[in-house]
Formats: sequence, structure tokens, C-alpha cells
Amino acid sequence: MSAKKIALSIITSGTYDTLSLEDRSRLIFLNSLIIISEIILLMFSLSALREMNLVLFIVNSSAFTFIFALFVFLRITKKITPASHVFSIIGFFLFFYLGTSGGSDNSGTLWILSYPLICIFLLRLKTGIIYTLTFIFGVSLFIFIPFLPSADYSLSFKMRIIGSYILMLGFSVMYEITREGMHKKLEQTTLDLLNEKKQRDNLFNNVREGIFLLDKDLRVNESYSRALEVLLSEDKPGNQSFLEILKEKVPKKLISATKDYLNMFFDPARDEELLEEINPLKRVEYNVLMNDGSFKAKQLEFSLNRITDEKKNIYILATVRDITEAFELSKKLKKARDETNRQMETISQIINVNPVLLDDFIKETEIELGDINKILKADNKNYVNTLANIYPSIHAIKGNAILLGLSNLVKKLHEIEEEIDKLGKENLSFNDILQLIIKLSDVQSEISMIRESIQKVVSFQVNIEFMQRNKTDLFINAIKRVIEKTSAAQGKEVELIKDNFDSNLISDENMKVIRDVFIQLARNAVSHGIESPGDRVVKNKGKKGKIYIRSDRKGESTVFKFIDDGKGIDLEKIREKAKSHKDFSLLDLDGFDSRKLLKLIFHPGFSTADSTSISFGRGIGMNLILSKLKSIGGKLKVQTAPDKGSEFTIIIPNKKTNNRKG
Amino acid sequence: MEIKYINPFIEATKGVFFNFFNKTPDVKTPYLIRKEEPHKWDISAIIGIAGEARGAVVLSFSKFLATYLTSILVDREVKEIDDDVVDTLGEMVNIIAGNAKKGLEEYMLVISLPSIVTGINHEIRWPGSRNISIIGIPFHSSCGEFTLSVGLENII
Repeated sequence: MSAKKIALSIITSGTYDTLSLEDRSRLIFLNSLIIISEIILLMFSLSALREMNLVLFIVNSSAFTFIFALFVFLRITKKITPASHVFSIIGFFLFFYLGTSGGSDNSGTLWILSYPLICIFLLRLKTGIIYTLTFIFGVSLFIFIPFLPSADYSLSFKMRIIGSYILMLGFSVMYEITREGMHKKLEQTTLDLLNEKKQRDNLFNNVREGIFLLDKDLRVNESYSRALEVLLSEDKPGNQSFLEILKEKVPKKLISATKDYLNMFFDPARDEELLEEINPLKRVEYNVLMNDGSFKAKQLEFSLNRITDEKKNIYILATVRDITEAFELSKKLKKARDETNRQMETISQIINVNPVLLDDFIKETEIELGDINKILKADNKNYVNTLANIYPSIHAIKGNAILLGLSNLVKKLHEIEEEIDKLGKENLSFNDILQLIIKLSDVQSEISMIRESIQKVVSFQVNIEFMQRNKTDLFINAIKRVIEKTSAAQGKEVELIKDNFDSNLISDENMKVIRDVFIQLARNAVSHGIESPGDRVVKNKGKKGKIYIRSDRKGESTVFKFIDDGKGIDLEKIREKAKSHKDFSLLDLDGFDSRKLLKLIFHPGFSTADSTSISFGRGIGMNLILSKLKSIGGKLKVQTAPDKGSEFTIIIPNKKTNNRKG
Repeated sequence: MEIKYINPFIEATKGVFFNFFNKTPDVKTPYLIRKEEPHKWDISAIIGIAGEARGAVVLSFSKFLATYLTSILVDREVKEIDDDVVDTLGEMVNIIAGNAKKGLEEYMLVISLPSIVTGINHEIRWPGSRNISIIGIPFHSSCGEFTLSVGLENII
């Protein structure tokens, strides 16, 4: 315990600063008086003893003892008012004795002048005045009435004693009145300040916005609203660097922008309105790392103002609000709207299509995507080959998607095809192929979205499982749709004649291939074979072009025929086209007969169409047909005659176990 | 999903692999991954991505490669996927993420610390919508193969 602390303990009776200001000052005053008077009394007692003034010694030493007892009492009970009374009463008698007896050299009369001061301060105005007036009244009685014991003062000395005492009393009263007034005022001010602080704390603790000040070093000031801790997910943001708090929670780029931006506030020349306009923190995605490594994102809105204190120091007053809910809601709304639009579009496209057909489409598409993935995973280092291998699958998905009128998907697939076309001729880098796979992954998610939409639609329709699959209708419808779509796009009129066709002759496992083949043939026939109505009239063939499909089961194989009555395959055009194709540059094309020229149309990358569009003219068609047919052991024959038309014969071997009824 | 977000991860993976093991792995042809598709990996490190694109980047290793790489780094033979393996791969992927960050600075992205998932055919929870598209980028090195899978959705 330090000396200072001991001293403090003595004069405050061990209460230190626990009492109110008023009580504390009285207690300190009382204790100080006790100590001073003890010292003086001790000295007086000793001097009285030396002078052998026994009465004075007894008075002084008994006062000393009393006061010491009072000191102990005060220390134990800490009761200020009774102690003050006791002290004043001891003082009363001591000073009374000193005043009436005169003490040594009549100096006792000087001591009594201090009594009003002590009394009034210790006992307050009312009680103090009663004590002091009683005191001076008593002293006057003793010094003026002759038979009462008192020192022998001259009259003028007596008058001076009383006059000085009254003056002292008056000053003491005035002083006390002023002091009490001041004290009251101070107390009121303190109370007001406390209330204000309480209100401010209340505000800071309950306001939902995060409010804080930033100094020139961009540190968060110690006093900030409680909500800031929650908003920034920071236990103690006070005294931390604001940029440090943002670190890892917002993009690095934004932090450096924020730093530059905030520093602009400290330049008084910058216009505040302008600063507000360029605020990079107007809406911030604030990502808080959770324990499991994931992010919890919230949207915060910071508004910033420059404030200047009286010393011309500039601070930034920042207010931050959590606008996640509003933002998420608007985002969700937009996303939901987009999603709904997209789904509605898809649904409107698929609602008219037979759900069985759609179901088939999804299944086939997933098989094709699986095939694509197999090719990719096989990791052919030659990217050109990889692309060439996945192309037929993409083309097949596109063909089916066109058939079902899924325009979004068709567009995406067409883009991929064009990309492959473009890339196919160059040296491919990893990035080229990565870019393509990214696009393909887009298709994958589009397809899973379609699947989702279909499930929604299907739940309105008859359950697929219980729906009787009528293959003939499905097969014929598919081909019909291609013919209708392609001919409408080209202003042609084409009729499908299917009298001798039975699609039940097609086995389940071959269904997809044969349908793809027929669809491709139909597309080619309408695009390249059938003439425009005008041309047909000129040729005396009737406005409507005709396409016949036939089927026939012959012992070990089934034969399908696809015949059109168009202008036939233009062999010269093939020859011309082939001449410009790099793959055939070494061949003696001029010497080719019709059979050899016809073979060229099955070459990968060969197309006689002049321009490419989504529905036809992509050169993979015939090549795809042949390779698909070969995969199920089929054969393809072509016959053509100018202006008479073309005939495609497809021969599929029958499986021995396949005893389907014809 | 955009290529510019993926490339920094590929480069960082190659770089860190070279620095640690003095081998540059070959990048093979990327392929498509379905969200619910089973896989052959035993341990994966997931780096979460938020900001202008949302999703995750995942590095997956077989038990063999994970223990092999750990053995090299901790200088003792590791046979099972233990805490050392988790720590080592976590640290390695942390460095990969850190290096990738440099290449992504110009985009508004936030990249999380990696978290590790282990177990046969462990489930990786891809953030984002149900139909999120994921692509796998296989890496081959002389000591085994691993995969970098990326599933990102563009926000906006």
C-alpha cells in the first residue's frame, strides 16, 4: 500500500471515492480538521504542560482524547452527520473556553473566528447558524456579565471580538449559500450529462444500424453502435483498421478502391455530394467465413459522411445497414421471373409434344451426353479427333431438339456446332476445348432444367408408365414434323405417303437409329430433293412433292425404303463441291461415275448446301446416317435419277431371337 | 461458368505441384460431371467461391496419391488417410487457392479457405442451384491422377 493510498484511506475513513461528492468533501474536511486539530491540541497540551498551566493542559488533552475517539468512531461507523455534531460540540466547548479565558496572551479569541467556518461547512446552513449564534451568544454573556468567569478584556477588545466573529459568520453564510447554489447547479449538470449519456448509450445499443467513426488512419473509433459488431461479424471492431476488417470478406479489388475512396474524405476540397455518388460501398456483398469453410453472404449498405470537429479534425461518420433481405428478395424475384419465363417458354414448347416422345428425348439425350463424356474421358490427345467424335452426338441431340421445337436448346447446340466447325480446322489448344466443354456443361444444365419442366407438365398429363406406346404414330409423327418444319421454312409443299410402312417392324433397340436416319433423310429430301412448287409445275410433276416410306420383312433382314420424287441428287454439283474440298484434291474427280460420286456424300464434312442454317445443310448428316446404321449392322443403298427422284434402301438384319409379329 | 475463373486454378495447381514434388502434371481433356454422379476419389478439398460467380472449386485425390504425396512431405510412410494427410492436402490446396487468388484479383470474387472431405465416394455439396453444371479437369502425374472439378454459376 503506497503512502498516498494510506493518506487517502485516513482522510476518507476508508471510503475512498464511494460516497457522493458532497458527503465525500464533508468527510475529507472533517477528517482533515480532526488531524489538524489533533496536531495543534497535542502541541498546545505539551506547551501547557511545560508552562505548568494545568487547566489548559486538561482542556486540551481531553479535547485531544475526545477528538481521537471521534476519529475512531467516524472510521468505524462512517456516519458523517453525528460525527460533525460531536466535532462541532467539542469545538464549541474548546473554543468557548479559549474565547472566554483568552488562552495564552489572549490568542484564544483568534481561534473562535474559525468556528463559524467549521460549523457551517460541517452542519450546513441552518444547524450551523444555530450553533454559531448560540456560541457567540454564550461567549458574549460570559465576557460581558461581570460575575461570570472570563478573561479581563477591555470593552473595545470585546466589541472587536464580537464584530470580527459576526463578520466571519456573515462571510461563512454567504460562502455556504454560494457553494450550495453552485453545488446544486453542478449536480443538475452532472445529472443532465448522465441522462444524455444514458440516452446516447441506449441509442447506440439499440439502434439497428451500425454507426461508427473513422479517423484519418481509417480506424474504427472506440464508441460505435452495438449493432456494428453483428453487422460486421466482428467481436471488437473498436480501434481496428476498417480495411483490415473488410479483408477476406469482400474482394481485394474493392478494398483498394475503398481505401482510395475513404482517403478522399480527408481532403476538404472534395465535394461531399460527389463523393456520395461514387461510393463503392453503396452495396457490398459481405462474405463471412463460417466454421465449415462455407461463406455466409450478406448485403451491406454503407453511407458515409464527412464530419469536422472544432479543432478542424476530419472524421468519417459511417452508417451501415443490412439490406440482405431486400436485396435477396429482389434478386429472388428477378431470378424467379427469369426462371419462370424460361420454364414457361420450355413448357409451352413441350406441352404440345407427346410426353412419351419427350421422355424418349431426355433418355436419348442423356445417352448421347454419356457418349460424349466417354469420348472426353478417353482423352484422345488429338483434340481435333475428339471434336470430330463428339460432333455426331451433338448433332443428334440438336436434331431431336429441333424435332421437339426446343428452340433454346437448339440455339445453344447450334452455337457449339459452329464453334466446332470453326475450331476443327485449326490447331486446338487446351483452352479451346475447355471453352467448348463449358458450353457443353451449359447444355447439360439446360437439359436438366427441361427434365424438371417435363416432370411438371407430365404430372398434369397421363402417367407415362401407363400410357400405351403407339410406335407407328410416334415414328410417323416425328418424320411428319421434320417434313412440315423443313418444307414450311423453304416454301415447299410435301406430302408423306406411308401406306406400306409398319414401324412395328423396327425393334426397340434399333428404333432410335432408324428414326434418326429417317429424320435426316427427310430433312435432306425436302431441302435438296423436292423442288419448289413453281419448278414442279413447270416439270409437270404436280405442286406437291411426295415422299414415300415403305417397309418389308424379308427372311433374314428388314428392308426400309425412303423415296422422294424430287429432282434427284445433282451429281455434277457433288463433283464441283468435291473439287473444292481439300480431302478430295488428289482424286481424279472428272473420271468418277455416278456410283462413285454418290459415295462422296457419305464422307465426313461433305455438304452440298450453299449456306448453313439450323435446320439443314450441316455436312455431318449423311456421314452420321451411315455410321449409325453400321453400328447396328445395317446397310444403305442409294439410287437416283435426274428429275425422277432418289431412293434410299435401308437393310437391317433381323435378330434370330427377335420373333416380333409383323 | 467462365474460363477466366478456371484458368488461374489450373495454373496454380500445376505450379504448386511442381514446387512441391518437382513434377508438372499433364492436364487431360475436360469432361462433364453430374451433381449426383458417383466418383472414385477418397479425399477432396473444397474451395468456396462467392462474389460475381458463385460455386466451388474442388480438388479430389485417390487414397493412394494422397498418402503418397503426404509421405514425401512428412518424410515417413503414410498408409491411411490420417490427420497428417488431411493437414498436408489442406495446406497444399490452401497454397493453390492462394496462388489462384493472384490471377483472380481483377474480378469481384471472394475465395474461402479450403475444407477437406474424406471417405469413399464422399459427398460434395455443390453450392448454387439444382441444375448447376460441373466440369472435371483431370490431371495426370507420374505418381497418379487427380481431378480439379469446377462448378460455378454467374451471378447477375
